Amino acid sequence: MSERFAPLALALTPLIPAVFAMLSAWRPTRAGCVRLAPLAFFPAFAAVLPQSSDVWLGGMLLGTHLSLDPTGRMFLLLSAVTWTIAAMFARAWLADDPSHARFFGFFFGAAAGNLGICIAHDVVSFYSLFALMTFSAWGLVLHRRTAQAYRAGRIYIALAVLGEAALLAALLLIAASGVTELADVPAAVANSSARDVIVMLLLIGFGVKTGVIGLHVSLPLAYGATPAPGAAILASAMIKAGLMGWLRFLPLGQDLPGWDKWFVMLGAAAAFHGVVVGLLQREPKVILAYSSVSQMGLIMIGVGAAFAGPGAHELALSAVAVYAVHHAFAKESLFLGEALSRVARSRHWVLAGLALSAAALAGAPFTSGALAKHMLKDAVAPMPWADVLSNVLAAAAVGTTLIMCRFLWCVWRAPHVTSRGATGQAVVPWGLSLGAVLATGFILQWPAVSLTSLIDATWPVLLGVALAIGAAQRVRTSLQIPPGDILVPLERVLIAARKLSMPRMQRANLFLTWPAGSVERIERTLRSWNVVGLLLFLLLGLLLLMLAVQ
Amino acid sequence: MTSVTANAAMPLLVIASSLIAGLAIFFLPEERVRWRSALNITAALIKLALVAAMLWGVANGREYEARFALLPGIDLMIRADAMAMLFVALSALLWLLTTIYAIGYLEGSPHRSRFFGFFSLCVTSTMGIALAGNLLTFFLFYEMLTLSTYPLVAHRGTAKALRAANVYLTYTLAGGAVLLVGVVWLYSLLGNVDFTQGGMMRALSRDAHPQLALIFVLLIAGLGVKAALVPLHGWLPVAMAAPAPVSALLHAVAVVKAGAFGIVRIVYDVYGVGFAASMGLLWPLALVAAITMIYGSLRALMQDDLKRRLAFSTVSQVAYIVLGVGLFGPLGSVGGLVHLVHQGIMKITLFFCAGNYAETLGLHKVGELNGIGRRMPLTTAAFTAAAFGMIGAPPTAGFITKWYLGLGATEAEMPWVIALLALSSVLNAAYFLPIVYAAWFKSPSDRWPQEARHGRFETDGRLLWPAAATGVLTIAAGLLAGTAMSPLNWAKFIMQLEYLQ
Repeated sequence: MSERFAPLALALTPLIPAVFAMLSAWRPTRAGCVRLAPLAFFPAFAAVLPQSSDVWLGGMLLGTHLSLDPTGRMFLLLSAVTWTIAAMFARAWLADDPSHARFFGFFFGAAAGNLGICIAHDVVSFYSLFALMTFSAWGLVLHRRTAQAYRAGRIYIALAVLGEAALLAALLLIAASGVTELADVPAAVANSSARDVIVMLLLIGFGVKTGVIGLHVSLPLAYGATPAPGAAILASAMIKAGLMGWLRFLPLGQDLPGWDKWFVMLGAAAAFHGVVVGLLQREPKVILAYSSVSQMGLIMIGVGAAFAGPGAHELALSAVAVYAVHHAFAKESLFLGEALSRVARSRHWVLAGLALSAAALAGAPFTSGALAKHMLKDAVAPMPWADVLSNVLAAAAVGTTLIMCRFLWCVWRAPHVTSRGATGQAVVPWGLSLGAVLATGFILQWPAVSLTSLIDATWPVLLGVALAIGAAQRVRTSLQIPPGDILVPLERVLIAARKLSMPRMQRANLFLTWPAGSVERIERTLRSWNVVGLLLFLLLGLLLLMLAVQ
Repeated sequence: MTSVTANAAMPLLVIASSLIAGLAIFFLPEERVRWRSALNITAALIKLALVAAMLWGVANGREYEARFALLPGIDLMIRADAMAMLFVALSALLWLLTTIYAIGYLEGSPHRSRFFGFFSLCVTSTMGIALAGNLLTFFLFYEMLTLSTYPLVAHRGTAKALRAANVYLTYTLAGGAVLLVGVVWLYSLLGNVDFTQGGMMRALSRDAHPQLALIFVLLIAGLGVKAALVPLHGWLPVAMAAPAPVSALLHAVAVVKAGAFGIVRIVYDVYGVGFAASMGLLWPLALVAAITMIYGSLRALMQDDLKRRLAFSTVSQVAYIVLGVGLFGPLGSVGGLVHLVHQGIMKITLFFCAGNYAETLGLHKVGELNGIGRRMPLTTAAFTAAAFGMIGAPPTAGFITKWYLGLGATEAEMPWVIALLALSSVLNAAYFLPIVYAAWFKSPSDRWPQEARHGRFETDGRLLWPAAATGVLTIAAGLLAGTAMSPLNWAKFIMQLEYLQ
């Protein structure tokens, strides 16, 4: 069976969610789409299982090639699980929302893109599906239509467009060498004369998704504004799409001097920045966003390690992949649990579940996090300053524990409204996501348990918890950094600059109004008859010249 | 002398189909609405069928050509080659849609016989421009287009419309005069200027090269007026005072396209792209296009009137075509040429939608479009598709253009063009995405300025379906770019012929 149906499952993986997205927009099919939402991801599961197969669709775009390699399979599994759970949760969570069909429209659109990039094997299809995901997710961020959502949407789309433009430039430079297949891309980048420009553009283009430090500012705003299931999927599967882009396009294992250090340094900076700013937040979803910035920073260190050269990069890649799966499941579970904790009748159970996911994220022993962190540590071992890096990783683990404690504390203190009709149904997907976290821990952990690794995993968590308890009793700070940190002063500067440059202009028509007047005048001059007369006069001169030449 | 065979009759019939309809409509009394509509639609359908047959023929290597001696040694020549068919097919298809749209749009307004008469003449001229086999024929139809479009721009008869028409005429006649100088000069050098794949300049001695460069400047400057190259673009934003179907005609089907197509013909089939590149004529063209792209986008950002914003967007987008021509190499050329079609279907969608907003609800300003997505979902969906096309986001037609232009940039060793394309994407996003966002996510105001009820759909079906159709085409041209009859493949087919020479 699998031989014949594998290509079909591959083709349907992005297609069925795309069809669902369109049908969600049409009144007669709307309700059905929402009801059957989790089924849209069935083809993705069907595609994960069988042996590899190839689908060529010559007529689509510039020739589409779908296939599934080990990296793709890992990410497809991760995405299929998280999207299915998010779909089930969204169905229950948004049952009373009058515009939930619109949410699902964008949800399916983003899903089609996200699942599609896992199996896309040519450059143009990858880029197309990535763009589909990015622009669809805009709809999720804007869904609530509050002032907060509008601001988050503005920042999100501004950065997304910047990222897409950087990506377009990078891909054009890559494709200029005649490469169309993803498999040939890393070598082409490594041999390109514009190699460093391409790598930088890829760093920016995908970095907008993964939240590279400096480009991370949209994450806290977007997660805060998006309804829980949307935030969960943004933080679990979609953030990994940027990572997937790096793994597909960067010349990893090709020994690129310099870039390994850049990735490691940027990653380490994000890891600490996320912890420090995250600890100063109060809104649980924003804390989780900063935790994501920090965690993606750690993954970026792994990507940097994969630059180091052949041999080392295999180890680094598997560490990155395991870390990605672990973080996706844990983060989704945290976001869904946080939402439930606000309405659940028996909050203690939800908090207990959240504590489990938080422990996994912090890397407590016997969880997926412990293995992920362990593998990452092994991956950086061959790097130049391995000692420093392993200390950095340990410190980051302490930081993660701290930030998880802060998160649980804020969830505990958050206002609570019991009784909501849909809660009952939302518990099931949350339970599933918790199951995914625990199962990953068990499946991955068995071969890796040893006494030293147990100790390695335990002490940062214990230290983190101790610090958290100590801090809760002693440290009282009124210091707060608004979500989006460096964005806030940046916005102020922009607004001030606008005010300075055009003091008396109407606010409604701010953009570039000042130069408009003078340009308008120039254009009007060009339109006048005098200019035309002058032109004709010149023409006559030319005619005379022409006669003289003859 | 005259030679008309079955194959020669085809292109003549394509031109005649709208000419005859146009003449008949002039004599039709104003109140014969059904007759006029039937005549219009039938002519458009016949033309489309003829074009489809010819497209098949050209793809299979058939030749369609008709010559008439105008003066001894100087012929009028009509010929359907692959390049001509690209423009003919686009115009024939969009003419049908625009006709349906115009019938709905102008319902109940005065002077419709005059309007549709000139409308048909305008399309006749466009077909002539597309099918012209030599430079003289091209020039004659080109001027005919100027004259037949004037009454359409002036149609409403308001002070604003008359002024717009005046500006339009000033620009285009001046451009035509410059073009004429170039044409005459070229004829005096060559004796006869037939459009030939690979050009016909190699035969000339090197002494003529400085003259040829000068003539090139004249020709491009003359054509650049209709193609709205900066600083010759001033008429286009003013002409947005014309009714929406005329805007569609100006921006997508006929006028700016005629200018851009003329530049394509001059570079590929008169000078020959290799020859033009060797004389160093292409990079200045690319530079002018680059300036136009950025300038148009910046000006579009400043506009609050929707149609004016779209007009400046056209200035920017048509420059893509010229940019592709300026990038020496088959990939860049494919990008430029395919944008002739892509820009047409995307921009006509936007103007159809702008017309729908104005006709149905009385909305003209960008700031009035809050929440329009709920009231007019299909129109807004089409607008969204075309807006993403303009940005160049996949999988729309605009992306395919951008991709090939970008590949062509490396091929032509002008990597700065890639940065330019990325910047242009960002600018396009900056003036289209706020509209899309406000349309779908902002709350609508309580009442629309002038709401008119139109049957069971969001607006009159004749306004709605053409917009929806071109919206679908915008996506299909990108998503199915790899199929045999996509604009992309046709452009590749043409460039194979041009670069094999």
